[in-house]
Amino acid sequence: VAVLSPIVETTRRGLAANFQVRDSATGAGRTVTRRIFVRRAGLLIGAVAGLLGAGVARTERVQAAPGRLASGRLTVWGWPTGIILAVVDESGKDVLVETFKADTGIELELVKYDYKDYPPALKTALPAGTGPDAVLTDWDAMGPLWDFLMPLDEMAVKEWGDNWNEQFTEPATSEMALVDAQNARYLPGNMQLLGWPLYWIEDFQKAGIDAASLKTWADMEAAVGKLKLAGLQPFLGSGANWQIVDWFQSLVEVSAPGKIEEVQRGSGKFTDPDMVEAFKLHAKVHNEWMQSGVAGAEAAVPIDGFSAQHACAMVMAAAGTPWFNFLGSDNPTIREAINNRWGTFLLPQSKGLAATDAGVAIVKGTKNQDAAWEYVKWTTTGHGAELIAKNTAQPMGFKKIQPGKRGTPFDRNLAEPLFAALQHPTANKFRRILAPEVYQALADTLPGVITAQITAEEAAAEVQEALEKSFQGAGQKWLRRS
Amino acid sequence: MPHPISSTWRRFARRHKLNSGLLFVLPALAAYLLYVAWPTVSIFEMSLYDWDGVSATQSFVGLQNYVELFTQDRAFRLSIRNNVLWAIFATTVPLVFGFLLAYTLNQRLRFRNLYRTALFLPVVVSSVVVGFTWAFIYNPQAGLLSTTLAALGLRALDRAWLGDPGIAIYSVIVVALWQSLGAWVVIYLAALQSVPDEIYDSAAIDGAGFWQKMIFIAFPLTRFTTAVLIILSLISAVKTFDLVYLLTRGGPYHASEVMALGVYQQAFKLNHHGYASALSVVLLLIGTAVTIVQLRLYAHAEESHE
Repeated sequence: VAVLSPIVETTRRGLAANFQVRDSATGAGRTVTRRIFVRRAGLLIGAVAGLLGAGVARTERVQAAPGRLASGRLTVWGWPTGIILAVVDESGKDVLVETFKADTGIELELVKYDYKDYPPALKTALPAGTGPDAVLTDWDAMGPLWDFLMPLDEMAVKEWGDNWNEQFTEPATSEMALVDAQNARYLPGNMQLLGWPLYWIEDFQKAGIDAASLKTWADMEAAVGKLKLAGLQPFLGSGANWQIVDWFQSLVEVSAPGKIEEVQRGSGKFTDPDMVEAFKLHAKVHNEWMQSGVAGAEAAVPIDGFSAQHACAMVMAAAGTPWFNFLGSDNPTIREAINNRWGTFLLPQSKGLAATDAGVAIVKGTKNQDAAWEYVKWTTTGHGAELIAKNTAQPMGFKKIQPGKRGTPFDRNLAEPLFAALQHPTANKFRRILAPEVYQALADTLPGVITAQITAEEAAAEVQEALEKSFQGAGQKWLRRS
Repeated sequence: MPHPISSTWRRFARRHKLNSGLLFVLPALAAYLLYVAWPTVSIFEMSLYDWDGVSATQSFVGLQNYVELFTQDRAFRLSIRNNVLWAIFATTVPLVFGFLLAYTLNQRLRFRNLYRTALFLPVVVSSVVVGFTWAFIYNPQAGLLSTTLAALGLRALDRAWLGDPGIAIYSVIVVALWQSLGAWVVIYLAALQSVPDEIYDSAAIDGAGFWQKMIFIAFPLTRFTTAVLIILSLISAVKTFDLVYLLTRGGPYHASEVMALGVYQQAFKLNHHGYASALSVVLLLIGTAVTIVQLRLYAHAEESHE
């Protein structure tokens, strides 16, 4: 209404048959007849239509062949996670990009999105062909976008032979196969473990807790009770979606080990009693063990609070290897704490939850395919992977790359137990939430249970419904009913 | 002999009182149709499909998305409620306090410009900065609000400002009010300065005081401004997104969800583009209704102003 009205009104007022124009230079006036006007307007409209048509044609062409033009600079998108966050030299300077250039001669641009903005950025760019050359992958972010990634098998076979994927750890390869069993869509970068709280060693000592003695969930509850008696907040948490869901995944390993896989294959349900129990445990942990007001607020990752305030004895969500980046933190308090004062243990009754933190993939249709492959190799299996593992002590999916020693208590307290767990033959496979719909449903409903807006049973039913929908979704090829 | 097409055009144009002026607007009209009208129509069309936003296949589902929206979607119902709450508070509170502050600042006060600047400052601050700042203020552990309450011995009043479903939406609305109040004050100030002093002087001679002059002179004479501010505020309430996204993401469990956020979540988080389109259509219809009210109020205000 607001736009059309003035147009119609202008037309109505301009009904005079012919009109006068005045030459601004000479001041002479002349009459523009309707015929002259029609011809000129026709030409103008034709030109505009031609330009628009060319634009549409251009858009379709780009869609048919997504990717950037070869520009001499390789662009990689990700979120600030271990594999791209930083490799710092002795002066504290991040040398990841310049080392890649020195090794390969290729200019690299790493674009780090806030994690919550990453899936929308990919979804907007990849189908439109305006994305980068390579991307970091995560189950929570990809959904139907896996189809926009280039199959890597042929290049990997050429590089390492037919059995190339045996060079990666089993949790890593089993996840790769879930996306596309015939042809890898990414190579695993760094690996992570869930279900491993970090704790202040001195707090546990003060409360008289031996982490190694926590064998059952009752032991865990008793330990939390001791911490409270000692005047300590047991856990620091956050309402951020990924932390809420990571906690849930970890607690399923307590109440119904391995069942996330069964549920997502259709041989179990979120509404089964042992899965509902995980919703209840989740609410209990958040309401009774964490700081008040933890649900709902989009709070930041609590690492700063955990290290600086020392107000809470434990923190867990997505703890483990990705946090090893903090070994090189600018913040001396964090650096000192992670190197010397924190320990870790597996939640009692859980088998742990190993998974790829970030995969590295090439975007289909990129003009920089060779350079992108160089980056993928370099950062997952080559010199880049070595640097990342050495500098940040993170375990990589590529078996030959070993995390570096720090020469501090960190090696004994954090690195060794986590790395040993990662190598364990029974370490989990397929125990993560794979469909974005299910992930979002959990992120929505779990705070509802925490704040008593809905019951655990209602939340489980809602999540199950989201799972049923995702079974029918066009892009969810990896979810299969058994 | 005139060209037959030209003759036909002349006859057509004469009969329908058309002339070349129409053709002048055609380029703009073409651009409008291509970039505004066509996408709008496409949204209507897409709302009838089930589509993940990237796949080649789209399944026609008819009105199923709308049926689901109105019968099963708890988040949608809550978002309607929250948008209505937002509209009520975002118009009434600044209307009362904005006018009161503007009227006060229109008097001869010391440091008047300082007060005006301080009030207007939040308006020019980016919503992202405002969101992050208030997230810190509302932090239940170390936030300014909770620590201040504790320091004042009012710990009993402390809440999980963004995590309590009963107050989360109000906490976000407070931020929006804080951010927008300055704009209301400045616009009201401009309107008040156009009211002739003679009217106040006459009223003063008749014995009118501060409040009487404000209620019976200043407020009626700025009703056109009030109408405009209310309309703009209502439109803003319908499409509000940024502060909710920054502070609560609509949580906990949709307690602070608003419609525009729902569109974003459905389209970009859940890959439900058809459903998001249906939600957009509803949002568009509500926005259109508000716009029609806006146009009528404008017309009414203009008439009464003249």
